[in-house]
Amino acid sequence: MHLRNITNNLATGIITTGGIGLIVIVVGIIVFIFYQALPLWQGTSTEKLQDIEIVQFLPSGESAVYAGEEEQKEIVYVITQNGRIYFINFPQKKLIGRTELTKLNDNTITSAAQLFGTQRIALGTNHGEILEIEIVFNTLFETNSRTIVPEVFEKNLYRVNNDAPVTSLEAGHEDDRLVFAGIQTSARQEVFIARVSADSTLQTTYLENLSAPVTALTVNSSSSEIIIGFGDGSIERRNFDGNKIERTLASSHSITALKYLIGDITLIIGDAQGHVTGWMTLGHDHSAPALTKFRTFQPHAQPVEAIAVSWRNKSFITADGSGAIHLNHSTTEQTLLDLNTGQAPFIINFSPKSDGLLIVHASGLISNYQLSNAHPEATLKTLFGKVWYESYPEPTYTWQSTGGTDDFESKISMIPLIFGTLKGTLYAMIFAIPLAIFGAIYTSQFAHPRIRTIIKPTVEIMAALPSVVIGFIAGLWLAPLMKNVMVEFIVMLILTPLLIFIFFYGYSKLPRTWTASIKQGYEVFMMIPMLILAGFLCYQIGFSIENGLLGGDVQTWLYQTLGIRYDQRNAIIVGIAMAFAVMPIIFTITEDSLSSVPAHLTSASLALGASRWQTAIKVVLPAASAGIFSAVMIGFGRAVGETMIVLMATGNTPIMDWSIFNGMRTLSANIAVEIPEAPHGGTLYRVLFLSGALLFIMTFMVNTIAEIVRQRLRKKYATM
Amino acid sequence: MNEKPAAYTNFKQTLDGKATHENPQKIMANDGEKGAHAGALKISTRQINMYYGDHHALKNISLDIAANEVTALIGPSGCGKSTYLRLFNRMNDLVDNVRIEGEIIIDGKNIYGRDVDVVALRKRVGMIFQKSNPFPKSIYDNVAYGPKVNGLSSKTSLDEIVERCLRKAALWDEVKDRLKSSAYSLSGGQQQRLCIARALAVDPDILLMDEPCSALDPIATQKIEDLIEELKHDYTIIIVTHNMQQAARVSDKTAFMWLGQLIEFNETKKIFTSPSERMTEDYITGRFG
Repeated sequence: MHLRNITNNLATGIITTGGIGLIVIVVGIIVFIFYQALPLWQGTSTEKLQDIEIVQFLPSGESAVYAGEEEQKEIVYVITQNGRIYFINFPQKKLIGRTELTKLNDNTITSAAQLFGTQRIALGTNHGEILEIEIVFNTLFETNSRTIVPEVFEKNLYRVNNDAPVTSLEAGHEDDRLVFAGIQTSARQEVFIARVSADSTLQTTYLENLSAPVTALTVNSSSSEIIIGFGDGSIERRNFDGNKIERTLASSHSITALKYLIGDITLIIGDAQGHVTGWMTLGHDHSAPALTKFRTFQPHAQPVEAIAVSWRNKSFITADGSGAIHLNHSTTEQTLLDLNTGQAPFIINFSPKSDGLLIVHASGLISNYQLSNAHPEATLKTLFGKVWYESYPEPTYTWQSTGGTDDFESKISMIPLIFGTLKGTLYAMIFAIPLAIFGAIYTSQFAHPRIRTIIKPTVEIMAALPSVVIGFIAGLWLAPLMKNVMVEFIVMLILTPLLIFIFFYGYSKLPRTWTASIKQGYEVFMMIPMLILAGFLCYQIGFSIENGLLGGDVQTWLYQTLGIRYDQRNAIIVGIAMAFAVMPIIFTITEDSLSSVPAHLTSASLALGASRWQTAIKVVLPAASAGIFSAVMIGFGRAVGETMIVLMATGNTPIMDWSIFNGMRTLSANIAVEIPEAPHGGTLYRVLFLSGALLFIMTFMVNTIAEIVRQRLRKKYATM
Repeated sequence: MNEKPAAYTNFKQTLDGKATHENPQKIMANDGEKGAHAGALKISTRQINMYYGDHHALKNISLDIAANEVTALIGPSGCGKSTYLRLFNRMNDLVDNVRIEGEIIIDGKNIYGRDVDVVALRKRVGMIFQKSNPFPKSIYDNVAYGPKVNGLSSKTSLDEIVERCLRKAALWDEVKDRLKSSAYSLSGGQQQRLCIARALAVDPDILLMDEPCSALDPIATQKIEDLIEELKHDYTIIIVTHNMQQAARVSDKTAFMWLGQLIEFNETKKIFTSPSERMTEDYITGRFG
């Protein structure tokens, strides 16, 4: 008695724990998936690290011309007019070093340009010189502490032809040599381009035929072009020999700031009205490539004064004279951050890792911001909307998560994947539903019970076939085969049902005394010679069509005549392979629900003189509709989530094309394909979790709808 | 024909010479005029043997049924009366592993002949089942189902048939305002009458009833019985019943079956007052069954 109680309690405990544990695990997985995807929507946040009054370190009369910081955001350097570089330890608010630039010879620095991605800075002087310096931050590890020691290298001093102040300077490099572009302003404004030659001298070209005052200037970092913005709102592209490539009217107002984003494709233009736009050179059909506006950002209320560009991603900062600072992301066209410091910024700069923002105000206040902006490229628009990507002729839905280079613009639209999922599912259902349902109707309503006992277990064994095996067979055997017998296959799809129809029509017209000897339910065996005949005819006809009408090769014909590309692993293959996987489940559930329609209903119908077909269609099918519907939906859900078959039987190209001769990439296959590319915690990693969540939502919705409809239908036929 | 049951001889005597096996042509010629030949030979069962696999379910049954009469089949459970009833519209064909020997002649034609169209046969021989089994459709669609599957699609004809059949089944007044509502909204007795209306809609001349009242309360039963009384003017009715009183009330002739054999067949009055077989008497007086 005692033992029985113990056993009883033990069993209750184990079963309860198991049951609750299962629910907890399932819910946990779902929560985890959403939790992993959620940070995609976390907006940008800033944290002001520190404000430092720069004047406390600077002697009176000295003011900053340039400022930057090192990777750890610990040390900020400020370059002053007088050629001194101050290093400030920001967390400690302490001046840790000061260097005097000796090569300047008491000249004043009037402009500065940092080479993209480096701590090399070119400084323009009031006497037409350019001094190239490099700041190196040495990290020293001593016992349990890390010290960063800055070091300044003065490199070459170059001389521009005219001895006039360099008021604006841009630097780039052509191969290994530095290239400068700048404006010298004295009595008149002159724009120069200068190359450093092999003997470290500067070869200067002054630009001619400038139609309006130059208000902004930039070079792309590969230094193949110089972009000039004019006071009349136009921009001009010139090559480095000073020759004009093209001129475009970009604004109705004076161009005030120009900058190329990482990758040198998108040119950000700011104008005197505060408009910020993104442009790229785009070839329209046969005309020469020209600058084309393709992105628009949140405008400023005042003229755009400065643009700073991230070295890491497609983000950039714009600032106006009132102190409004916008952090924009180019791909998404989103303004991630809208700061208003209240004072005119003098210098703005990204930290090298783009995780911080350094602002030097005209008043001498330096503000250092911490940016947390992990997934700027993922927004609802980039995930689900049409986006005009760099170098694309128009807005598209595109999935291309990774590219060969760091400056690649990642394209993470879920739409091609959802499209691929639906396409694969649709083609699978086109093949599976008719076969499974007609098969089930035949098996349950027409076949001899003895045949039924063979068919049903056979089909159910099909369901046990691992999908990787089906995918393997489809991809490696069926796809190449189908390529050869495509025409024959299409002929077969039409011819076989037609022949069967004709045959049985003729059969039904035969005198009853002839057909009476064939037992009901065994008629199906007469189809076997029909199928063999159909196969033979298809082969013959298909061969003749391909050779006679299609010039011997259907793929070539499709491409040349209809412009349709034939992929070997295409939607037909996926349709057939996936149909093979989902058919058994649809068949089994349909067959069960058809068979469970009460016999008294079929009897009533038959007793009224309805034929077996009429009974099946008008009484059995409606009565079993709930079961058939859920069978189809369960099949649908299985096809949506199917991974291995689509992975192996398609080319996994994320294209959006309904063509039956092209492949697709599904959400599930995408996860499998991209996992090796997705570093933990990165945007792609989270986007993959998002596609997992989407898959879950899709199947959840399908199943829920299926269940609701099934309950309704069941209620309707409840009292049977 | 070996050893004719006594009932058979009795039946022969009641024919009044109106029709015999020898002149079936006459009946067929007058097929359309229902009620014109009350008592004329309608169905003739000749030495029917039926096997479910090895089980000999019906043993050498010969029985003649006259037109426009109600013939009741009685007997203890499992005696084969329902099986026998289902032979008349070949519903046993649906059962696997069934073998039938002998002939059933309806209007001069063997319905087990090789050239018989079963679908056409079932149109002529309507059936009412033990449990009312309306389709999960509206009242109207239930009645219209038969004509529809037989190719009638004209709305006015269907309306007319539905009304006529519902009137015949004494259901019209109760449902005429809700023809579109579900058949399942009807009570059990109404559902059974709906099934009768449905059977009438394909214009049969024989109605098979397989314990039509077994699931009904006394009032509903009363209504069905009244209906049977009405219907026999137009139809030849064969009814299987467990209820001795019912057989006595509604039928003209009664056949008593036992273990697959036809024990006695005679005028109902005769069976219930002075059966010629001892076993019949034992059964109807409730000594076994």
